[in-house]
Amino acid sequence: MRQIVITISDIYLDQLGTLVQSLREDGVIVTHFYEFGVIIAIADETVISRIRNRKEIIALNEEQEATIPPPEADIQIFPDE
Amino acid sequence: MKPPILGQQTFLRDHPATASTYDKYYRERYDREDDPNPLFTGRYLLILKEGSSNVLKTTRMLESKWGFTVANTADFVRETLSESKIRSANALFYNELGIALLGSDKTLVDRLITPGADYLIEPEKVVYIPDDLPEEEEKRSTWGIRLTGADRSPYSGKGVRVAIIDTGFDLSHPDFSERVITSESFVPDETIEDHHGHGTHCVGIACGSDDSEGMRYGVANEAEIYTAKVLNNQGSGAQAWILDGITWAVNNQCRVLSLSLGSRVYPGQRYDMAYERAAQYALSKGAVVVAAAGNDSRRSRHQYSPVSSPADCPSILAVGALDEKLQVADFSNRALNKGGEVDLAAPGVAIYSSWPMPTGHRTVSGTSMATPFVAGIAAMLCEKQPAGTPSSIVSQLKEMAKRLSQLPEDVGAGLTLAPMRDE
Repeated sequence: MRQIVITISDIYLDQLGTLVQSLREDGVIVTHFYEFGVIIAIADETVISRIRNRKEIIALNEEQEATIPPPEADIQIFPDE
Repeated sequence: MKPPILGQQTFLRDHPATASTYDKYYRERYDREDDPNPLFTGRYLLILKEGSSNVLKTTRMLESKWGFTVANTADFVRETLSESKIRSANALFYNELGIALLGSDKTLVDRLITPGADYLIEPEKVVYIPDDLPEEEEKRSTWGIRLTGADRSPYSGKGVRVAIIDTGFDLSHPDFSERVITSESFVPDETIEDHHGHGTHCVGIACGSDDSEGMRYGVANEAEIYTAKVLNNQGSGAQAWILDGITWAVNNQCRVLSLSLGSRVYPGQRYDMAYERAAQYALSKGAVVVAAAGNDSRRSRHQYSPVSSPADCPSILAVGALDEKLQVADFSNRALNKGGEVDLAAPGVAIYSSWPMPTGHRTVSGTSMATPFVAGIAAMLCEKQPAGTPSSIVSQLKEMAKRLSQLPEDVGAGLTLAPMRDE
């Protein structure tokens, strides 16, 4: 299972509720969705492959983690350092 | 000589009408007896229009016609003149100046004022040392506050809601005891309390004021503080928490959102559509979003990294970091990916600001520190222009920026400057 972020096309914004329901029926576990057309979800690879090319979806990415360095760092650099 | 009646101090108001109404006021309204700090001594100056040439003639006139006993400074060639030496006289002519000091009462002086006279009569003024004039206290400020002009701006972000979306905030910090703070944690099982420090530092830069020693370190020191915790106490957060924080801030009518956080982006990588959509939502609701360009570069080693996410989104202002000499910070990222521009630069090296107690304050570096400088200045602009749209605020931030010699890929429009009053 992977944490994913789905962004839907502008033109389907008014159908967000219907789309969320449809994704749930397709096996997507929706954890958050936002009125500006972003859905946070959990899905396995098979489901991701199945929904990736739906016309309503313009972006499907693995959820990013934002981080800052530990408090003792004098330079508050971002990760991967 | 009649001694002068002196008060302690007086100041005339500096008003354009003062000069034109002064004589009228003095003649008709001014009552020296009721003024604890009188303007005049109760003595008068007779000023010859032709200067010293008529001293002798006028002396005779004063003595014979009006009964004055007149002393003359010319009598004091070998000794220093002092009024105590002429107690018996009620007039003193300053021979070289053609001016006589009259120690007589007002009734007699009024009779001296005649049309066509070759002299003027004016009341002798009391001269004060303005030792109680309040001196302009020299306020101390951090270098970032000075260079951005935040300490000279007439704006303070008053009435403007600014959201700092970060690791939370130390609500018990003494520097903020008088401030109204609205907070919300979107990190499961963690309160708003900032056990990292990063969020408290960023709030301090954007919206703080002075420390207990009077050092100013905050930009919009009267802004309304909204602080969302979206990174946990270890300094990491899920994208959903950040979107929660953005949504919360927008729905609370915050006009500026400051995001000193990010994820590393690789050359060629496209901006994140979810963040872009959230930023577009913020813009549509009247909010400006600023974010840190990221600290992944090591310029001294010729290593340059692209602007981080979400700062690389077209609808988010990306902020690079400068040092005190206005050089690009060694770590500050560069605009390498299409659309991932650096929009503005701000102080981001050795920045002093608040830190959770008991530490109180700390000096750290990063584009995380540059970002709240821009957020605070954007709040000042929002105060200046309450009806300003996000696009007009962004345009003005760029127009007002101080142009720098460095590449726009590194500093965008330049050093962000605080708004001043229009001429």
